[in-house]
Amino acid sequence: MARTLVVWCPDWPVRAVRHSGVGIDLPQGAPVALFEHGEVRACSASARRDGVRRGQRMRDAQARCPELVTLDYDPGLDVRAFEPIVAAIEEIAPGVQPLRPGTCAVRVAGPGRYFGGEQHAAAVLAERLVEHGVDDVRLGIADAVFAAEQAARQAVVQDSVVVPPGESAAFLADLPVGVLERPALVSLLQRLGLRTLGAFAALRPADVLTRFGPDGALAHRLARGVDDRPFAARRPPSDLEREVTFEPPLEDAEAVAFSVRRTAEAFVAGLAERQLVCTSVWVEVQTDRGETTERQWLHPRWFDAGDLVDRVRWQLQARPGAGGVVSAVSAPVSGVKLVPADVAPVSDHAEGLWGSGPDARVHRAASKVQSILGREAVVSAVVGGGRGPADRRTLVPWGDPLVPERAVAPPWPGGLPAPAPATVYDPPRPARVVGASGQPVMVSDRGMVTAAPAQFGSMGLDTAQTLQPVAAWAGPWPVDERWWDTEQAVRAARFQVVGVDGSAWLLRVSDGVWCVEARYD
Amino acid sequence: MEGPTQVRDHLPALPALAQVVPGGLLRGAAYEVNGSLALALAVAAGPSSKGAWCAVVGVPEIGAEAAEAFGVALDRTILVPAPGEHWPHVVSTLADVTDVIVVRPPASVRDVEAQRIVARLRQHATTLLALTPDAGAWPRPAGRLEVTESSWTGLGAGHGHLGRRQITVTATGRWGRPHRTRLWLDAGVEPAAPSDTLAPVASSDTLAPVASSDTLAPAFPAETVPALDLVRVAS
Repeated sequence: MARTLVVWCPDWPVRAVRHSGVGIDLPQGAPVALFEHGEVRACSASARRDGVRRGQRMRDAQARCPELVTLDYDPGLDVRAFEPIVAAIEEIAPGVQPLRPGTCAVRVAGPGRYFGGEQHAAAVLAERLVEHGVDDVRLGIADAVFAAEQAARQAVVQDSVVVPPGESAAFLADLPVGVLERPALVSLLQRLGLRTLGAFAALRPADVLTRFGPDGALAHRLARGVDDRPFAARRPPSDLEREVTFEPPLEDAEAVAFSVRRTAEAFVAGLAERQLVCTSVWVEVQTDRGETTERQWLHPRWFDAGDLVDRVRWQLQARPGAGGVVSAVSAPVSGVKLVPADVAPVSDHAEGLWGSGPDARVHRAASKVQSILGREAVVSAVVGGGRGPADRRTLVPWGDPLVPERAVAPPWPGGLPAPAPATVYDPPRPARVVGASGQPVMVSDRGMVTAAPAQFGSMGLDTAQTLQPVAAWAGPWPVDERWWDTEQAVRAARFQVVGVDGSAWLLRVSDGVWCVEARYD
Repeated sequence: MEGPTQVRDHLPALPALAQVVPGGLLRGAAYEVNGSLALALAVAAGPSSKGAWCAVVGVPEIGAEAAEAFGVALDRTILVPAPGEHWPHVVSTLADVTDVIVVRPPASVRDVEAQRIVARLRQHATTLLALTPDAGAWPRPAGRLEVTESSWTGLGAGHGHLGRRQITVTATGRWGRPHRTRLWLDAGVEPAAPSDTLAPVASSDTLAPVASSDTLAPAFPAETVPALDLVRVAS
């Protein structure tokens, strides 16, 4: 029988964050929790000691552990950080099946014979992982993946638990049904009084299938120690990434872009040999101070060498700041690495017999403009949700996914009725509104105007400084947005005003300061 | 090298805008649009809603929602908000792939520059709409669209909200006398029948004299205020 070994690194997401060093200096042993949708996704052992649990809300977690470091959960980071670990295991035991980031399974037969026993093989693996900086690793060996994983969870740090052949069912019998990780089924089983896997396993398979369906039947097989799910060992990824190092390090973004071209060509050629194209790429830039900045770039079609060179250049050039374009990296660049994040067969993207489609031409033209003006200079607009007209518009750089900043779906009470203004000033322009006797118009705390607007004008527009009489107006429509956030809070009132010349405007007053938000021209 | 396009066909237009220019806007020509971004977007919506690509150059304040309401497909629209001095180059590059380009040129456009762009437009059968504050900022356009009258309904003295808008578009060009069309241009575009006379919202003479500073306006739009006159007391 093919025995299975499971390698388990507890709290992998937290470890991944520590390892990648994404910006934050985490003191050793500090309680850390990663949050997804406002709930704890993973936490460190010290946080767990203080009572932080998976699925807790941020507020509850912070109440239990006030010094908790809260970070956003990034599933991609987990996978990326685990990749070198899997590669290290593969060096010792080929045929690794990654189960999830932090956990993977290997067939133990071969390494077991080679190292003179299953436990010896496990010790060698543990030693190798500790060399890679993973000090908390636990291993379990059993007949199949499920039992081996449960065994790994019972092991102590850097040690292994071996379930002898044929004894998986007995080993599993005492475990609580919660380990099946099927919340709905587990809750039902507990209410039926089946609290251990042994009790569940004692049911007749046919009864389980009729009562709980195929997924319940699969869970039942796992509980009985019968794990006949196919073992899907991954094939080691072919070497598609390309790296270039600069000696001496280069300071100028243009020089880096120039030097990276051959590497980019080799990268594209390497993919082409396997009939692949790359639609998404990670660009890692190393500086001579040892910092690494990485960023993922998407392409609406696929990357050719020129596109890759552009992405490297854009990554090095930060946003244009004061005094021209400031470099995004603080030190000279010692190396650039291109790692494919997403590849597709070239046949999915083949050009038609009569050349490429219209969208490819459009994309080429837009990229050409980007290469003149910079990446952020060519944008697409997306309509999203929000109350003000500027909030409802999101500009995304060309080629990025068209996702609005705020979702359209939630109701936005207090939003403006149709029609939408054709001209939206972002940021708003200063304006002046006065009453009949020339006094400034204000809005009181209770949402009342102190005087009816009689004249208005916008400064810095074509009607410079001159006030024109108001023909009609409506308002104030109070807005009190994001009051919980001191930096983003907006407390203002909106007015629609039509001048005697027939022009219609959307004005906003906040703390007695008027501005033009939009014009209905 | 491709020669100049011989057949000059017309740009597809929204049905409501079909009569704005006699015969329609030509492909491969530059037109001037004075003082209304909404009108330029409505013109661009014609080809855009039929699957063409559009570009908007040098107009950072484009209202995406209004553009979409007119029928502009934003996922087929390339925006270059701030091209700076490179705008002729950007327009020429984008003329290659788009059917309509809306551009706000800097204050003065040199004749030479305009001719070079128009040559490029003609080659690729792209129509340019130059947004200019005053007539004549674009040298020798093929035509000019101007909003000469605009009036709004729905807004009163402190109540209501902007509702409908009627405009008169005056088209001047090589087709002879100026051509006037009346349109509804608000959340969409519709032709206005001659009978659609619009009572002016509240022109300055009909506006009630603004009273002293104690005039207070309701804090809510008019429709959310409960109508008190519906409460009848049985006698």
